[in-house]
Amino acid sequence: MAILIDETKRVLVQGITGREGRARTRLMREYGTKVVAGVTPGKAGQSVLGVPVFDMPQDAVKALGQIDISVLFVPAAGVKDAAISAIEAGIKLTVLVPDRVPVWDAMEIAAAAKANGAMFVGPNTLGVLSPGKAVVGMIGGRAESARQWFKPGIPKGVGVISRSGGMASSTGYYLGQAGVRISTIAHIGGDAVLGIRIPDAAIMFEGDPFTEAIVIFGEIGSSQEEELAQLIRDRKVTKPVIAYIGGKAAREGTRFSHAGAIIEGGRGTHAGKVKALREAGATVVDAFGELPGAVVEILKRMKGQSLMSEADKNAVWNTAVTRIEPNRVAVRGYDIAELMGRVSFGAAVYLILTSELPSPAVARLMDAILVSSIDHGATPPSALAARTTASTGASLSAAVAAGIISINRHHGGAIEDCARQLKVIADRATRESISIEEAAAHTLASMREAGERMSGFGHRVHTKDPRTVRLFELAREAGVDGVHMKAVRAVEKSFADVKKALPINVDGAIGAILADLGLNPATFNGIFMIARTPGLIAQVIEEQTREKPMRRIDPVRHGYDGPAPRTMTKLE
Amino acid sequence: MARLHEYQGKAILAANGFKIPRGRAASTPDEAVSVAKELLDQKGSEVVVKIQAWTTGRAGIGGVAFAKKPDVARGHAARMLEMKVGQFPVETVLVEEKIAIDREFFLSFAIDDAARAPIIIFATGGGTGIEERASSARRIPCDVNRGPDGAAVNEATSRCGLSPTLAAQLDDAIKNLFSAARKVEARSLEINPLVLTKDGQFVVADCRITIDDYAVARHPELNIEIAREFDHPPTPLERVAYAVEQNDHRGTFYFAQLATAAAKDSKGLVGFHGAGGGGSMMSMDAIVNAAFTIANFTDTSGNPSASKVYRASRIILAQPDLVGYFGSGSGVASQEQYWSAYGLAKAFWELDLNIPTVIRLGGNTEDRAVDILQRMARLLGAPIEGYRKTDAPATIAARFAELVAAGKGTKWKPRTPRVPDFVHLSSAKAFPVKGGRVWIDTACWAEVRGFVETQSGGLIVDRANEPFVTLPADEFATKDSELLACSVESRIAGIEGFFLQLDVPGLDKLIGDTR
Repeated sequence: MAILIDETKRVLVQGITGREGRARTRLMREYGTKVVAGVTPGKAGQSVLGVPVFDMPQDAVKALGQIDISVLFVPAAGVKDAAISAIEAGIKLTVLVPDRVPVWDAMEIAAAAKANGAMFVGPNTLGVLSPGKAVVGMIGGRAESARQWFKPGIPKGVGVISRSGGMASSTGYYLGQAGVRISTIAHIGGDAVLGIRIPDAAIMFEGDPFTEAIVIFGEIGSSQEEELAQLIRDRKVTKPVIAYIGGKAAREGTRFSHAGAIIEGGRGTHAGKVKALREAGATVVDAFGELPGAVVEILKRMKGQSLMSEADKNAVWNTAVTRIEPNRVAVRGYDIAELMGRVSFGAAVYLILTSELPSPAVARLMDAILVSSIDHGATPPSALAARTTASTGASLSAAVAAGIISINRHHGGAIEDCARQLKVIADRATRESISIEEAAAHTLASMREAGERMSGFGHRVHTKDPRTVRLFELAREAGVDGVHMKAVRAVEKSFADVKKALPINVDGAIGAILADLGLNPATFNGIFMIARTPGLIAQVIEEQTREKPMRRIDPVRHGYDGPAPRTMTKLE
Repeated sequence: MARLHEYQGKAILAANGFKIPRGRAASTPDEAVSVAKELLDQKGSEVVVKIQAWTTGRAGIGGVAFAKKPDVARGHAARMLEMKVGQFPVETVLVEEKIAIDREFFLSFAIDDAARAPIIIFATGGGTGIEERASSARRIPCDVNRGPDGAAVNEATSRCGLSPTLAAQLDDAIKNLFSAARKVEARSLEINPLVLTKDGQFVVADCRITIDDYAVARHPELNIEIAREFDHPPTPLERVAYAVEQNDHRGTFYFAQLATAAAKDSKGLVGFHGAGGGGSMMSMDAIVNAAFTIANFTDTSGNPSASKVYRASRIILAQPDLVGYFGSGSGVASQEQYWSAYGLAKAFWELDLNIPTVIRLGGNTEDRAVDILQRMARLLGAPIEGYRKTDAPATIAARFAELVAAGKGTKWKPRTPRVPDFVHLSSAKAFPVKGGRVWIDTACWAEVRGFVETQSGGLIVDRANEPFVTLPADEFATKDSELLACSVESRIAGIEGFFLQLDVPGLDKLIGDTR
């Protein structure tokens, strides 16, 4: 977990069509941020890197539903109006990247945020980054660097709060070099009036169960560090605080580019801040270079989980799937020995694809999906391709691979296509405030006009697919009945209404179920491959052992000479 | 924050419903006398002459004096206009009527960063030492849109022992203070004291006002030349730098002169080029700890254009007597550092740099940045070294000290930039860009075209054996950074016939010395 930003947050980019907006949208998406929309007044209908552009934040919210965060890359003079339009559209966090925002504008933004129960970061912030999850703003500059520099806070990490943008990255980088994992890096901004200040961010880290300690890059000026010291004294911040305060050499009244770093009327001096924090019990290092060491020391003492192993420290890239150590294999964090014999294969597939274990009912459903697609005889293109390849003398792996290669958009792909089309119908119902049946009828009508076909309905052999019935039964038992399931029934009804008997086929059923389970549609074809592989192996082995090489395989005219129909009652 | 003088602040307050003493500013003794003559119109009247300088405790340094006769006022003004307060020469005095004080109040507008809203601090009794009486001060919260909290205002003014009429006037004064601050977008506005005169009027006796730097552009009526807070009047070089910043908003550029001579026991004056406020401060600490004197503070960050970094470097190198050039910022920059490297390399070549130079360009594309500097260094006499994020500021400061020690006391002499000879030939053709021009020698176009086409990224290509710009002129003009990179690469490759010339208005005139 993290504070403020993670991979689940839906992000809007204001000023997306500008130089910075475009460049930072690329960074954010490549790093894992869910950028769902952009805004530039007068540019509605365009798209930037595939992100739809709207005129105003409220248009984006209306079209796409809730948006969690808006990040601004607009000229300083336009920040006030842009931020207030986001706040009034119901977006609860705005991130104000621009520099030189007039302070009275910042105060007006603060008043609007307060009135609407919203928060903001900045102005003059590089943004917020939760390593391995997502970034809003421009910390890291490029996704590749950000991945290399900042170590994800798994299982836990330290929170970084910085008043300096450049030093936010530096602090994160040097902590990573010292083997310290990070939950979130927050550059709170350098201006006089800021949305989230050090004390606010510290309270958030205090409440984040995955943050073990709080690292501060403070500066002279303002009273934020002193307020943090008070929070520590009041036991409102109890996690270890390790701080460095910049600007020791600065004279009173001298300012170093950001407005934050100025001592006004004896308030916010270096000595005062260091004293307040130390007396409250925080660790304050004298030199920035000592900061990582001090953090490591404290984490060791508290036996923290934010310290990296030697292997992780030396890693040049990371995987989040499986950790291999001597005598230990952990899949998505679960020891494989613990999984074995306790979870079914379907549950393990669900785990490796979603990173979470399913409930027993969902596990049964996953197993049923895999079983349902294990084989469909010798006629599907994959079986034919595998057999044809096997008949040339190819090895098992080559022949099965040939079968897998032929699983594509038109074979197995209906699962994913259907799921996406169902989503369109469900979204339409929400957007136009109509029933799902109406949305299905309208969508099918326009698809008919455009000459498109709906995937996942009808079958060249079955009129009532036996697998569909059973899958829906199991889905009911597992309580899976989301928008995709509702949409799939609406489509079937709609076909019936126009006297077209196009029943849901197994692909449509699987697509609807997997989508309602929240699995990524990009994996659907893969789930089909997993299911079908045993079937392909059986087909290939039979080809290799029973048939002559280089035979002409008739795709239709073949019989069945296996076991006679039987039931499982005896076994059970 | 841009500071205004007392007389300027009083004019703003007068426009917002405050009474101010009669009087005017004067910048010569004669002017002061003529103001005094106007004010000394009644028997027994008296004027006060005050220096206009950004300091507290003016009375204590002889900056406030009273006069009953114009000639006495002349004497005061003449003396005061010779004064220097800190680094500021006194350029103006305020001559105004002396007011008859009954009571004094302290009234101060500020911005409360914790509340993210304006606040007004009010106290009875004014004058100096208000800081010590802070406990008696009342804090009146304000809404940014609606102004001071009415109940809090009443509560504050009703306890001063004033008649209802006067208390109501004081209420108005508090509200007017907010309006004045709001109108000019003040960061702070202090009236100290607000005087209740013997004839029952509230009059502003003295005030201090600062304007939000970022809002100065919205207030041309304030005539603020440089929206910056300096502890000295802007130097000519700072004016040049400020103009550069105003003309290019791609990233941040900040330049302030700190010293023109090395301190005693110092190893010398250093031109400092930072990136990012926090990292710059730490890097300055490192260079100060290595016993150098920092000539200037400079910050180019926030993804600046290469041209901006070039101009910053030119401005830094307009300071005489530098023993070296030290560049270091946060060290792990999100911005693409090679652009900065190109900007620096261009300035170093044009000025034929001959003093030790250490540049830390850690962060994105740091390897490329260091490589650019190293390749340029081979063309120049100075030791120029590039460093990365893994090199700590203290380490490179120590290395810098070694290079300076080995340099046998060479001190930098500012010079105008060199340009390749072909620029003066009739075969040279110019293509305008933002703040400058690209020169191409058409006589040798055939030899350089391949290089230019590649290195400019196709901005300039060959069309019928002539250089041809592939973008509309206004768009081409914004590609100054890309063309700067091309210019540096051609310089390093020893290719004549392509050059980007960038202007820094006013800088050459300042340097005086030409080649």
